[in-house]
Amino acid sequence: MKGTFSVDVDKILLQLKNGDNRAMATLYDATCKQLMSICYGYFHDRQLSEDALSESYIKIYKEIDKFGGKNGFNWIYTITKNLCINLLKKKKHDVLTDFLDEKNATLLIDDSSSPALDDESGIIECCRKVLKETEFQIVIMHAVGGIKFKEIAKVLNKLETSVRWTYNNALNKIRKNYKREED
Amino acid sequence: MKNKDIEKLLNNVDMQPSPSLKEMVLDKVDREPERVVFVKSSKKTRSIRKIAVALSICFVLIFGGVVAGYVGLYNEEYTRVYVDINPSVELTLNRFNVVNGVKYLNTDAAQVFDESDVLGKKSDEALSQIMTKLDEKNYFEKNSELYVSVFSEKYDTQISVDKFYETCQNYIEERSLNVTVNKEKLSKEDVDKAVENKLSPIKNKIIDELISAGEDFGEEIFKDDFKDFSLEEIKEKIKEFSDKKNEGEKPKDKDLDKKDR
Repeated sequence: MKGTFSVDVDKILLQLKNGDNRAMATLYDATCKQLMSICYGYFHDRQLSEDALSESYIKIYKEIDKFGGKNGFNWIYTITKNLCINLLKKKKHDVLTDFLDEKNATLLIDDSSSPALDDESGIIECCRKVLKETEFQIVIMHAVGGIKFKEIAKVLNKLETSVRWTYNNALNKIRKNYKREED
Repeated sequence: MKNKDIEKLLNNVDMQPSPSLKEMVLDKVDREPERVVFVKSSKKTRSIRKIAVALSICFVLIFGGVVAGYVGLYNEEYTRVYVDINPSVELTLNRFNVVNGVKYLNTDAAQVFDESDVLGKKSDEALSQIMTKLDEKNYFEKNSELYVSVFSEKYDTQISVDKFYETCQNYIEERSLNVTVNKEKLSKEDVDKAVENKLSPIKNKIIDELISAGEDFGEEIFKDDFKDFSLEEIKEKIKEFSDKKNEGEKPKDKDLDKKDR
């Protein structure tokens, strides 16, 4: 599937499935930014996100035989998401459920840790302060990771309009608070 | 500040993982145990396979249907052939002219024939076998009248009657036996009456003739008394009545009889 990606992820996954390990490098190059944004949405920390990211790729490689040939992005996203949730549980942070459940979603790590991203503008920090978990993840996935709303909606099992609305709402929140901070 | 500006700021955030991470991931993948790759057959192969499976299923269904049909036809009662001399036996034939049933119509028949002599055999062979058994047991010495009769609800049996007659007749002629072979095409009525009386149709008919002849002379004749008689014996009895008639002995007037009373 193209869309978010510049390459056909399904095709690359099928090559990997057929035994061409060189496709792993292509897959990494094509998807690392997007999957990193997903991991960051959970961990809010570069180092932890990278750890989760590398484990995600190993898991993708190990489970490549289960890939059905379609919806490659959805498939690798699901593996990444489930891995992040399991890792979080292991690290005994605040209880996290799938970020579909906004009521129970809480911030993952204590507020004092820094995002350690290249964020001179401090916009990420602002996002972390003002946004709910789901809003933060949608903003990171779309605005930072470059994942399209249609694909975010598929993986979240939501309507695209709902995702768009949440995103715009989040931007409004960020804008109000970011401006205040600037002032 | 507008939302677009916020978006721009967000777009500028570097979400790329560290460059060393790629090497680490690829290194880990290389160290993973080699996967066994299941090569999926091409679309063309799969299509051919699907067609082959579909054809096999069709073939099995058709073959099964044919076999079931054949079994049904094999066991179907198509023709009934009766052989009467004294032993009376009924053979059931299917449409392939093979004996698929045997019925002994009197006690003698059960003693003379065994099912295995005739079951599964073609009609000619079965009839020859019956003739051989009768010959072995000397029935052709004791009796000189043999009847072959045929019945079918499904076709006109005249040709079959002639064919079975010929089989029996050839046997008799080859061995120069002193036996008269009689043939008869039976009707459904003949068969139904015979079934009612538990006799072969021919015997039933002849006994009816005897009863009728006896009635003319006021003699009450019971069917059961003549069930084990040979056809020759029954015919002789009929001839007796017939001779009496010819000699001028008048049959009793049944009406006078009633008046007397």
